[in-house]
Amino acid sequence: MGAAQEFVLAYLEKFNPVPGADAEAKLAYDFLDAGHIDSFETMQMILTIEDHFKIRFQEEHLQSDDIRTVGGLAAIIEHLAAGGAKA
Amino acid sequence: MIVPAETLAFFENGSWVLYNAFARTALAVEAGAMAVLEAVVRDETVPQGSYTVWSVNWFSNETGLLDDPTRLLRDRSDWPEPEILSAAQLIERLEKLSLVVTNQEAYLERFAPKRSLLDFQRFGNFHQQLGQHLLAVKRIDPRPWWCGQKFTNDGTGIRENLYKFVQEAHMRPYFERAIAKGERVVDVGCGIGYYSRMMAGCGAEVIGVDPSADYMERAEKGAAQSPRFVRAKVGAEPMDMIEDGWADMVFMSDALLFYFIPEAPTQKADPAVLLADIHRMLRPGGRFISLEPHAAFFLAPRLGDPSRPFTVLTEYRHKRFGITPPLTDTLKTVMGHGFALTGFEELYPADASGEAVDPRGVGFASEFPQWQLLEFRKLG
Repeated sequence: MGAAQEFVLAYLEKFNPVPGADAEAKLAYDFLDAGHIDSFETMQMILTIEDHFKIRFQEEHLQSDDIRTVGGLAAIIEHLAAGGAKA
Repeated sequence: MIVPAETLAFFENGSWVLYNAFARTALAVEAGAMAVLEAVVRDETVPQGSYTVWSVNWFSNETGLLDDPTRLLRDRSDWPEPEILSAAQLIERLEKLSLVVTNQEAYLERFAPKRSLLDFQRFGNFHQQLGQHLLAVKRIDPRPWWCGQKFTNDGTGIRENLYKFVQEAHMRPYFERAIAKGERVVDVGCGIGYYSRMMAGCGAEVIGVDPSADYMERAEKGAAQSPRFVRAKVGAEPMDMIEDGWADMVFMSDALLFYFIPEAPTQKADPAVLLADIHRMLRPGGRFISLEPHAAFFLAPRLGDPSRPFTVLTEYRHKRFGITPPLTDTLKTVMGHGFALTGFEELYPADASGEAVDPRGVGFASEFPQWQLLEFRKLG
């Protein structure tokens, strides 16, 4: 599991266990639709990730379907951290 | 592909504006684009060419709850640079804005509550849209924003908007008429205590109650004649710091609506605990004064010339976008908790003083009431 995936999982696990029998299932977990965290917590997580990985999510990322799952969010983080859009 | 029946076209600022009255989305287009729209709907060959459009949508309530809710850039000088689109790009843009629709079923599914902060697919209600816009788009904390859109920075005055021209202009003389010296008043959901202090200024002994620690802290910094402020989980549990039958009057403004239509889907909206508690706090025959955004017209688009305003009302009974309960729901619910309705007013601007600041807003509010004031008396 990559650093971004581990970071997102660990962050969500602080609130409640992330469901899924294996890593693949956990990465596919739609934490937004599941209501795993509320609106303020979602925004706090976004800000924490930006700070930690020195990235800045753009509107297109926040509006993409990919951001809804652990794996999808981690992929966006990796893309941005690799130079997609620096803070 | 269809044009939804709620897509309107009107001529504003020298261009056609296409506007979905439910989705509150808009695009200004040059006249030639209308031929593309017609060809698409008739399933005819789309005329190829380039079309000039202006992205005139913006979240117009980001500057205040009582600001123009139409979501249009009204002044041509605020319009962005035009974009030149091909016919295919134009159709794609119109579809993105729900001004034309391919899959009607998918379109109708968008009129559901949002499921999360980052749910941009479902329109959700006004509270959800506002929260999403502030938090996820503008990255503004809604809590100080909420105060800042109504009050001046030091909290001692109301900003130059409809809160001042309509609400405060009505309530100041109302309190002077309605409150006798020495009367005991509870201001439920008092926020930073602005009206609590106004009522105390009329000679009342006022207790302001609010669930927010931030607001309570600001309320306590108020003027010398400051009333008492206490924090309580209003509506979730009884405000037991106030004795049974203590109050001659309970006042509640811009807060009862949250107990009918919740801010977030996860919240419970139930006015029963609150209304039973208001009944308990009042002496026999005591008054419950409720000032709330008007059941019908709050947040309706302000269309037409400022001097001849009209609106399109997309809902009343079943609120999908709106956040105020229908009048019957409010009245029946309150009266069902042991109250009689003794007074009803719809609030309009007191005079023309606000016209210089906000001609469209004041013109609209002069025809369509922004608030309703309900007076109840405790039975038994």
